[in-house]
Amino acid sequence: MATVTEIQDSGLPDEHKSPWDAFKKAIKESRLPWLFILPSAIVMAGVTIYPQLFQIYMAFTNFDNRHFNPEISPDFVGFENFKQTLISGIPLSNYDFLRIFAFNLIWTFVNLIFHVSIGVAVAMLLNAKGLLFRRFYRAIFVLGWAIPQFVGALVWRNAFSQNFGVVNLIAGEINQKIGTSLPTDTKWLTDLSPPIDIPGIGTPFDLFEILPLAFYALLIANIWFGWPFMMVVATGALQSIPSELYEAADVDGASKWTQFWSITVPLIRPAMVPAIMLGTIWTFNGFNIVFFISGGGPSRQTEILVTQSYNLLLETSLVGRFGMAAAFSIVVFFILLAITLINNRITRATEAYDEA
Amino acid sequence: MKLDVTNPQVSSKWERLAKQVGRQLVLQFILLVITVIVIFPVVWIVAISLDSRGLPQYSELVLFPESITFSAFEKLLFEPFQSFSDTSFTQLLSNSLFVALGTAMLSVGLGASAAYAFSRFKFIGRQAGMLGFILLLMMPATGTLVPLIALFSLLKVHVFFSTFAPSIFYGCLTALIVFGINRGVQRAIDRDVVRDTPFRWLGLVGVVVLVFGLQFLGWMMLFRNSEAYDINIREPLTETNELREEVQSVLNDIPKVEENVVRQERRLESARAERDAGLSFQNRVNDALPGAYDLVEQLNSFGFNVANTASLQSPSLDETSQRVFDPRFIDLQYFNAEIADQEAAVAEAIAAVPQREADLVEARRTYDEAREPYIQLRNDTIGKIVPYVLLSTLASIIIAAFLWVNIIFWKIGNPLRREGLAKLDIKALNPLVRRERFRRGMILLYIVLVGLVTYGWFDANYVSPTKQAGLEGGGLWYDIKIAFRDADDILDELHPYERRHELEADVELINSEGLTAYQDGLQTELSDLDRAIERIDSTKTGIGTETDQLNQFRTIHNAIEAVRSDAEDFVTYPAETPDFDDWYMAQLETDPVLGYSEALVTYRDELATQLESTPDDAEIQTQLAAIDEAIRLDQLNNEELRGIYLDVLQTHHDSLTAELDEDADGQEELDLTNDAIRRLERLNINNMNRTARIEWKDREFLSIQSRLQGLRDNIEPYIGTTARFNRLNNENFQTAILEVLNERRTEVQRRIEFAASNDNVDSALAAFQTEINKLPSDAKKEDRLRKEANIRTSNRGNVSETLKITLFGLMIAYSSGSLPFAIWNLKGYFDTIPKELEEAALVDGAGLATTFFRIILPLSLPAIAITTLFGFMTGWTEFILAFQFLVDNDRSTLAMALRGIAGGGATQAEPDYTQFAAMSILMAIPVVSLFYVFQRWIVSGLTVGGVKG
Repeated sequence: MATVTEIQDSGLPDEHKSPWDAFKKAIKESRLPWLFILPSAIVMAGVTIYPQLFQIYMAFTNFDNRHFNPEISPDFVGFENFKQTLISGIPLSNYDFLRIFAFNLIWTFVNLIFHVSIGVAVAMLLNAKGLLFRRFYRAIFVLGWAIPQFVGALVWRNAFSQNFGVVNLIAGEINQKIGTSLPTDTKWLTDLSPPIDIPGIGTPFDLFEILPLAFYALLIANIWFGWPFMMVVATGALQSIPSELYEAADVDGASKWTQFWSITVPLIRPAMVPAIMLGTIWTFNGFNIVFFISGGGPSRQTEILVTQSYNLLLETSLVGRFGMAAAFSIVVFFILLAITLINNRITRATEAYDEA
Repeated sequence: MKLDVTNPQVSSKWERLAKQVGRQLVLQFILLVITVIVIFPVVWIVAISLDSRGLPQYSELVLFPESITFSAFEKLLFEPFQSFSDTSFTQLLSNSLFVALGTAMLSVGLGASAAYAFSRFKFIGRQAGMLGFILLLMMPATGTLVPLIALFSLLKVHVFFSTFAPSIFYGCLTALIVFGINRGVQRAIDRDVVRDTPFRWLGLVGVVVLVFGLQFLGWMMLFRNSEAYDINIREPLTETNELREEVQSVLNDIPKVEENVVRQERRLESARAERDAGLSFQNRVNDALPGAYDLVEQLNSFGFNVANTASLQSPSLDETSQRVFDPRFIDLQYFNAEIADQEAAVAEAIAAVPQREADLVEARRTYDEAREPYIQLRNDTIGKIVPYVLLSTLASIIIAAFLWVNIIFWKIGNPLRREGLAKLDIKALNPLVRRERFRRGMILLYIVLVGLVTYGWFDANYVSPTKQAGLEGGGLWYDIKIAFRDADDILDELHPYERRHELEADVELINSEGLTAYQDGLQTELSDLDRAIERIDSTKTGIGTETDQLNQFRTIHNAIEAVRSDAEDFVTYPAETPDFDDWYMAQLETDPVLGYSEALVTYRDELATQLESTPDDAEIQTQLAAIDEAIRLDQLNNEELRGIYLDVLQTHHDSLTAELDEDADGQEELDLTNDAIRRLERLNINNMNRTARIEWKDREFLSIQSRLQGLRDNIEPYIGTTARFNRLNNENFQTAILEVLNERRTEVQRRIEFAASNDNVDSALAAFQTEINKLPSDAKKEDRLRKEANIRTSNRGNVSETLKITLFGLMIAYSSGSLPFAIWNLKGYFDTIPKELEEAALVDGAGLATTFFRIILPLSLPAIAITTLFGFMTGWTEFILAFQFLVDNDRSTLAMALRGIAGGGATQAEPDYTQFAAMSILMAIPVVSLFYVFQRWIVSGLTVGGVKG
């Protein structure tokens, strides 16, 4: 019975008590919830918080392989590691922090555009009145989401293989059937030269010079993985739009285009915004796709922040500079923190339901 | 719309229909195109995995292979992974399942309570904690890898724990599954599905048999995965099977030998027939020739001028006729030789038969002898284990029967519904609730007894004692440990720094106690070492067969020794001419092989010059002859000469191939030639390696050390798990230890000789001093020690192992990602459950726990499902942490195996596509099917819970 009163009391203001009493009461009331949290807190303290603190410590020292031996303590180097990370002073070929960051943003942005537009478009097709085999299509289309990314990414990497990959095989097949002369031995993941090269003019866009062929390969794969989620969310939102709205618009003589922008878009937006924010974070942190398909290559051109963070660990372990890897991770953490806060702001996920 | 109103009704109807059909067609077309794009990679992978042609020959696109085969799947499932030193698929699957299910259960179990607290209570630190969890959720997992590795490497767990945790886990899992089945049956009874059928009892008995049959099977599977099974059954079985194969191969040889005899005889016959034919032809020609000459004479006498009479009248008609008439006569010689050869071959083949039969008898005897103790051992073990499994099954049947009686006769399947009571009639409910609690207590007891106690008891009784015995003394394992320690100590002594200290100690000893005492001490050590070597030798035969690896190693070792002694022989050979000796040594240092040839020639020239000045010197002549022989041998060894010989052989080979079209018997000769070519090619390769091999001895110390280190790396994981003992035996560790001991023995021997040669104390001390001065001083020692310290910290302890390399540790590490996600997701979903439900329950007198378990959890099943699925997926497909954490082959996960066969990184090394495809499908199937089962809940769980707007 005690719990009932406690919970019921907790909402009521205690104006007649002194602040000290109120604080004591709050402490007392906090005991039970903290008991609930305790098991998780212990695990998190060991597995996440301690490593984070240790990482911060490492970022300010010249921690390397030797210092795994507890008897040898590393020297403090101040902000040197951060400086080296940001001004691209890490002794790695083709390492440029700003370029990687910019690439990561471009990567996220381009992906999101494709995911959302394809997802919404297909959802609208599936929502068409009187469509046959609707359930069949829905079941098939979520395949890209259902397949575990790790397995799927490895499959796509081999699909882009130069000699046996299905992408080049298809090109060969088309050449045979139609008689075109598509290139059939494209090195999708390792070619550094720009994909389009018109004689006399060169590459048509600057974009093609910045982004190697592997970027487009990754893009194809990630669109395959990413759009089903947007489609599912959009389908849910579209189904909740009453058809009377469209009928009324028809009566008023509004074109389909106007109907889309004036009815569909505003009504699916509440569902799409959180999904897009989630998609942003998933793509920005999309380790599996980049790491297992291109591995950040060629020449670090398709590296994003999280894969660079991991690769730094592997590569500097040769040099043994874990301090720099830690500094890089902390920089990445702050970038992600910013994105998380923006996301949090938009979706207001931390609000408890009794305060909403 | 407006048009519809004005047009006639009929035409508008048809128009609308046509329009609809057209629209439908367009839509279907677009959607089909999308479908094709979506499923294309999947179809590709499935096609490859089933394609019977196999890769890598497969380089054209075939999406619907004409003939399909499941061999890739069979190979994956039933053949061990070579890249993981023969770990089986079931082992990897069991590891992955343990990690995945463990991660899911850990994160949901811990996360649910934390999420409940965050969702339902107001307390100090709530906002901060929530924000902290979300921040942690957004952290990339790669960021904390280094600290995690450092932390988990420092934490040690007892070996018993890391092997016992999975046991408990699987025991509980089995019990839970059985419990689930029981519960399903119970519900069926509740719904009167079973009760009212005519075959009710039959059905019940069937269900009981099914349930306990499954249980029995489950235990048998657990047993088959246990270490006791490995030690006592699987490994002996493998060995006996190998022996059997050996016997079988001898048996298979017998018909081959007989076949060979027949074939030889046939060839002999054909050779004879051919010779006879040749002879008869010759005779016929000889008979006919005089008549022909007479005819020619007559014709000439009649005035005809027949040419070539001179040649016809040559005295040896046979020779001429051979030249003129039939080239086959040239082969008579050959045929005779051939016949002789064939006769010899037949004799040899016939002689081989009894030998093979004797071999067979011997092999059979060995097999029988070797098999007997194994059969005994196996029978003993089965005799111990089967009653145990039967007993424990019986125990669980009794417990479950109790439950069943409880369910059937006491009718408390669902007290509320059965009694038709209102839910909130608490007083009337009380006795029922008590009974319900009793039932739950029984279930809990059941789970505890069946899961924990039974399997744990099994583990404790049959596995742990073996481990303990291995750890604490006695048995072969103990001997090996001692031997290793000895080897370690000796290796330390062989170390230059240690040697310096030891020599200094020797000097001190000689100074204080005299040379004799020193020599006596060395003698004692020598005899100690001999005893140690003897001991190792005896343990070597203790376990049974020596492996191929060992033999191979010996062969290589002998070969190296032979090459080396060859080189050494030569070094000592021209010792009479001191100048040349120096020159040659210098030459040998730059290029031993080349130096050898050059030195021979130069030395020969020198000898020849000497011989010119003193032609009668017999000694020089002998030397010259020896050198010539050496040069001949060397040239034979020479690549160029071999090249020429290869050419000759090649030509012979070509001609034989041509001949083969006409003569089937040429095949054998062709094979022989091929063999010769292969042998020569191998010899060439060997020669190239020779330079490297001569240097081998100089690096001996380092190689022994590194090999010992490698062996230790191999062995340390198994310390405490004697299960892998037999495998251990295969890794020729005894040889390495023996080598170290022998090294030490040689060293002692050398010093004894050294001391003996210096009977004068002063000269001995001086010699020692020179020796000491050659060795490195302590200044360099620190650097070296630091490196060694690095190596040592990475090793495991004896009884305990680091948390890092256990599956349990990996599971905990995974929760760093999945636990914040679980808390966040569940909290979001709990928020959507109206608080009024709980308040109503609280008013009705339910406690906090009841509210949580009876109201919140059932209502948030979607979120629980998706959180579980995500936890499962994390453990199932995670690669990065697993790759960095796990070092043991038998503790690898499926994800690691898939990454291993998926081809290499950005270099685009081609993988074995069929294997890769099959493995991808096997790994994707559980996740994809779970996804489709939970799809509805995933969407609602993610959109409603995770990202509540």
